[in-house]
Amino acid sequence: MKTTIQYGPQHPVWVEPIRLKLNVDGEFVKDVEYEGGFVHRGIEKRFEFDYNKGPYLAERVCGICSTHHSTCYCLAAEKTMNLEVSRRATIIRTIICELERLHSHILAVGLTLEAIGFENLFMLCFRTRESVLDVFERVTGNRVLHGHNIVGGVTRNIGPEMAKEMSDFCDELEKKCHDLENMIVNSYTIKQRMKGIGIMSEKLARDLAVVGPVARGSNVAYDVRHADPYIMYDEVKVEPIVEKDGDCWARSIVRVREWFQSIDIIRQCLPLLDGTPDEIFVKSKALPEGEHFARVEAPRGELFYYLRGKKSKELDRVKIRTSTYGNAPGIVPLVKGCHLADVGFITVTFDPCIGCIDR
Amino acid sequence: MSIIEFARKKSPWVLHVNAGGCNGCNLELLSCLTPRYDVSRFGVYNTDNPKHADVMIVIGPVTLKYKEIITNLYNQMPDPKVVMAVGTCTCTGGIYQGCYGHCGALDQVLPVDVYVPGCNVRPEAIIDGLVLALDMLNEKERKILEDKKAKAKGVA
Ligand code: SF4
Repeated sequence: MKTTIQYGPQHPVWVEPIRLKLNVDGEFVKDVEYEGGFVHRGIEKRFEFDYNKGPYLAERVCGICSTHHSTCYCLAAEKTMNLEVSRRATIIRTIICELERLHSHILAVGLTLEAIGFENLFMLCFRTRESVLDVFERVTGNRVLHGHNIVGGVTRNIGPEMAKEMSDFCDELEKKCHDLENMIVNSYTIKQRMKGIGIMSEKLARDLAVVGPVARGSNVAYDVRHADPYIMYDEVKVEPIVEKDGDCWARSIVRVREWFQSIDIIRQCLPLLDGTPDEIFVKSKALPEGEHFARVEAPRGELFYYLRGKKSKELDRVKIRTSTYGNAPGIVPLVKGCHLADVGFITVTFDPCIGCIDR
Repeated sequence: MSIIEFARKKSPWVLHVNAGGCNGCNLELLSCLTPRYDVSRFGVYNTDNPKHADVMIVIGPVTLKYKEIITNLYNQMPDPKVVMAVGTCTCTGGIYQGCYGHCGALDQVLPVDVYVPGCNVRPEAIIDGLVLALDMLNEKERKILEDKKAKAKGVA
């Protein structure tokens, strides 16, 4: 017997609204229809206002990868003005970006565990995440949206004391992350629940051009930090982390392994800070002119900003292609044919961020 | 204090609705529910069913597409109910003022009882707002009871 089930938009598994229309035959999903656009606010229009306020707006596209948004915007804007950012500002940007990847990946793994009913480990993940937020608060003054980037540099410096504190924090966090990793990897229940579910083959991943941990979980070694280094990533060594299986377990394990990569990058960046001159902001003499784009590797994958200026304070057009927007087409073929009980779980391993998809 | 009032004061159930907005305030609300701020020690429980909820926490300027759904959710909640607007963009439209895709602010759509401004809000502010919401809930409850009594007297 065929039944149609409405999954969402207000559903307990997701914090944000999307709607899946499922055609079910008994336990199995036969057909899926994806409907998005519930949180479309039209923020791209707002960017045509003042290029200096852009980073502030870019952070409000999505609160989880906010620094990546503003960094990407700043990179594009600085290209249109031929602005060279000082070395210290670049290092600070890299550190903040990696901190943000840490908080985002811990959050994503926590939410995945909650989706399979592992409430306790979810709480532990969130407790670990709070210590990252503490560091954010010490460095930038804010917990989630940092307001740290401006066109031409950053607003706050990282002094030697803060750098010391941060390296202590790295040691502490690594220990906590190892504990979490042990609990996840050694758990028979989690493994049994996650392995072999929602398999995305390498061919499918390449065909749909998915990005980020979803692609890397399917054995596609694509990482913008490695393929097209921006800010400090040509000096800092980054190797893309890949897993072979392409199931929910692989996607989660990619995130888990990236915790340690991020900690390692922060460790490499901190010594570069001493000895660099204290200049963190360069004032631009030109106005944005011509068109340029920039891309960065946000926690969820490749993020793309296109920007066109018209030699005045206002911009002509800003176009954003977010990482989750690239990943969204992958949800439909994976959900087709799976158990009804796995639908929410599979979508959560994609780490959906609807604020980004719809903008 | 009636027994219902007492029970409610010890354990209000909240419904978390995201109606647009970036995820900033969402994450802070999640932080509230997890070990550091842990509102569950006051008995606050995050329910998924609007029919069980006492307090509705809304985040984000209500988008045009979500308007209908949110009124639907509101109508499903039993009386007395309190609506809490969390975040500047929910209170006034905030950073999204001038974007074309939303209604402006929550109070254009639903009657709002508690405003918690801040972009993004801090968890402490949300907890403060919840405490305020509880008082309002009890006030509403009392009013409903009095109305009922008056009605019963009128009939008799
Ligand atoms: S108030 Fe600010 S941080 Fe909160 S959801 Fe709105 S834009 Fe995001």
